[in-house]
Amino acid sequence: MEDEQIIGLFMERSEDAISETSKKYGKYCHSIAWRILENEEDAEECVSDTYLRVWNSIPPKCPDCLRTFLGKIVRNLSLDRWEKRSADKRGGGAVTLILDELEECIPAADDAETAEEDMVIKDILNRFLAELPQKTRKMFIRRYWYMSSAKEIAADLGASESMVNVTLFRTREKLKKMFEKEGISL
Amino acid sequence: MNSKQILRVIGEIDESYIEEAAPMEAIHSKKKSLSPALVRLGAAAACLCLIVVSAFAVLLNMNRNTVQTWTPGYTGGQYFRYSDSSVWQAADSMACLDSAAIPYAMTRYFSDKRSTLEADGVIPVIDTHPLFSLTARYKEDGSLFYVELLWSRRGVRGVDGYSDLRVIAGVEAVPLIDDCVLVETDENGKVKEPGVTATNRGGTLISARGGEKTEKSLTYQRENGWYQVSGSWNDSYDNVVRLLDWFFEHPIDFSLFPMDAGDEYTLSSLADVPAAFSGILPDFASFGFLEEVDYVTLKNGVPVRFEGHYAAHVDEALIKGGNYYEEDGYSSIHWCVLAEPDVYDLERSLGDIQTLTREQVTEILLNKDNKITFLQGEYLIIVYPGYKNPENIDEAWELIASLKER
Repeated sequence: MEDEQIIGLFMERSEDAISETSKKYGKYCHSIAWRILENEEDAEECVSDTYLRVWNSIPPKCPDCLRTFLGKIVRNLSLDRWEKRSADKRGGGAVTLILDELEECIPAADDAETAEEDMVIKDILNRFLAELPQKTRKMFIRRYWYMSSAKEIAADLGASESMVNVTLFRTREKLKKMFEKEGISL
Repeated sequence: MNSKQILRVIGEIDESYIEEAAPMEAIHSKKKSLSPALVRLGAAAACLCLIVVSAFAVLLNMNRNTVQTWTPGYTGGQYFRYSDSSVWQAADSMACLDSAAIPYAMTRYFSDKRSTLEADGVIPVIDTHPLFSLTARYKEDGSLFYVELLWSRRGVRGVDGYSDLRVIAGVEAVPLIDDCVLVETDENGKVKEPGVTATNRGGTLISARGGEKTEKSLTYQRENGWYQVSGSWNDSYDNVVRLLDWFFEHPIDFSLFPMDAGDEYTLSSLADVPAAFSGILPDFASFGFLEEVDYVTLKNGVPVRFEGHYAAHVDEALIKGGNYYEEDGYSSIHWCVLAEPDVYDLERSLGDIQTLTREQVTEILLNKDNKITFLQGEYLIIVYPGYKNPENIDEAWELIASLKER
């Protein structure tokens, strides 16, 4: 079913919207949740919660791209759950590794962050990504948005695993410099 | 700012970049197919801290000119009269900038005390909702920060009968935590005010957010603590207001929830607690399945849940590294053991393991569901074969059958 038709079902408050979304994007959502949570039941819950969140969001929202809309929600919900699980119990898994990597992008620690600062950082990230070569940008997004492994990225983008790792390392360094240049007190 | 926050903000980058980098096909998943059972709308995972913090953002931001006055017989619809669900739903799907900023340090659970708390008049009796959890969060010094009470009901088909009624209550006022505020900005980058209705009930200001067919909440703060009462999208206003009325008349005695009286859940692995579920788990290795990862959940130090992922027909090093998904011909299986299944887990059960047959399991996995749920003694077992093909299903059956002989 086309995305427009699925969104139409949400607009009509038809329960078929959920099943059609699951058919088309269930695997996609599940893979994002699984990568973050590495726990089957948690991933299933997050995907289900994503459908609920979409049900609650459309209407009034009418996303341009349903896949990305779902992906952003399931990613956020999965990170929420991961954080809560980490706070309650013991973390680990791919997110821990990725967080360690992203620490390299942080020039200094300070706790005076605000929502407005995050808007600025989002803007910097968008500008930073716009300036990257397409292949490097894809690598960065695949790693830090989709949380793919270096091996998977290498396979999909026709590069060696070590090349992916080196590229990601250099990109993180560039991002750190850009944050510093922009005077962001992170 | 920390790496978690960067990870969050990356989630909000330009969508064109996300699309550009999307894998050629959906990113490889450990589970090869999703059954219609997944359509079950799970617990509304609205982040607790989001709710709390955004609620106080609402209280701080709302337009005082719209305050209504409560009178006896005041209806649920009146509480939400001016609430603009579109504003708050749009905001809800926007950024949670860093939920990890909520400063609780420890968690304990009082979920097993439902009947006692009902009998003592601490919580209302809600017979229509079989699931209940009571989660208590504590600060570094061990003092209580807030409690979350959740009554849940799930329908047979997921949507039917779904309900989450939730109360979050804390001892002390929650400051507006800047990096955790739900925000929606207008075209000029100005943060929009959430659309809310405010009601003055005996000097207490109650803010109402949400609307019909969306999540909805009522928030207030009094001398004896702050409260947020909420319902899921298909809970009526009146259901939420009934819960509000109870807690308005029966403020929570927070001293009932000292940290040392609650249940503590911790996560471990079989390597750390090798005796956990001894005799309950199959001998995976003898069937060629090697462990990729496992988790054992301990309740006050006692194992209550196991979840393990195993793979076969592929190099061991690849399995241990979680790098076998691109290999041809591998099988995988996900095995869960629950010592404390809930009523819905039990409803899904096919019965005692001794009654299971190969034909029954094969038929279900091929045509009906992606998992097999059954009882093994006092435990509930859920088995997810990785592939929906006869070979993997046969292997799943052999593992199950090996337990029948014990």
